[in-house]
Amino acid sequence: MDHLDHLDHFEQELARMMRDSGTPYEGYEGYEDRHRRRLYAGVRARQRTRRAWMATGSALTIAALGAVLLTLPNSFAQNGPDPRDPRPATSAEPLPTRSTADDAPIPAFTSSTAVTSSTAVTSTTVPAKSPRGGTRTT
Amino acid sequence: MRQGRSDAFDRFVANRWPALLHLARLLTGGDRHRAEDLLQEALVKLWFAWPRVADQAPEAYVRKILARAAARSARRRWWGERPTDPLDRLPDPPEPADETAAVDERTRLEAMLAQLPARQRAAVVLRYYQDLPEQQVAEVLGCPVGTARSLTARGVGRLRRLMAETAEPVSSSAE
Repeated sequence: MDHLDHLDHFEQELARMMRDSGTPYEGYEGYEDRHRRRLYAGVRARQRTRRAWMATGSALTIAALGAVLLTLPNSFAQNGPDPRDPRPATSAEPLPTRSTADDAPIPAFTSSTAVTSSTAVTSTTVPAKSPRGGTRTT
Repeated sequence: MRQGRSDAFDRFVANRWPALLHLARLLTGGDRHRAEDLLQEALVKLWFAWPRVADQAPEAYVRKILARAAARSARRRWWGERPTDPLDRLPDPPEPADETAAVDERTRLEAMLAQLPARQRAAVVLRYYQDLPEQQVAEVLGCPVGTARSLTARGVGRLRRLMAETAEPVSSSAE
């Protein structure tokens, strides 16, 4: 009430009239059953409205999600990689065969190559037949 | 849990109904039916906010809803309010010895409040009936403090003129 202390006479009277007019009088009705029934009817009506709004919102959300899911694959297909594009720099083909040094382990997938290579080398060491019937080593 | 909420809510409403209805009645310029409608709407909103505000300030919540709805009514025109002839319909000032003086005074006050625009009326009621400082009046009405101050001052100024024109015993002493 401190902030009302500086009021003039009229304002103080106005505040008093407002307060006094709130005192119960003949014919005054308190909170009755009809008020309570009406209040809860209002609560139920608002609950129904909220449920309807939520259902509508959910349906719209689902519809929007469905539309997005339908359109996304199409847009991906249109924007996908071109088959004529150059292939990536990395290749899936086996790396070139390393030299078969004695101290270096030989990967399994290159062992056959090495064997083949050594076979080829061996084949070069096979004595070739001389045109004159003799053998000659290289 | 719902039963507990309902019980606490019912207790609050039953206890505060007279004060809240009186506030609504002042905010509507004495329109009893509209005051009941306004209070019902505010209490329905309170029901849904009850878990949040029950332990804090449910009455302040209802007051804010009431005041804002009453202040909005000027724009929405849903009360069908029409300006009346300023002074012709004001009842006569009460006789001091009249046993119905209190009722007459209330009727006269409500009739004068009904002459105010809705926002001015809401500001005046919050300031002088609810004893709210200007900052809180502004907060409840959702407007700047300067606007709330201006609304209150204009509302009181108009009430002062209305009082003076009806030769009301309550007169302005400090202008």
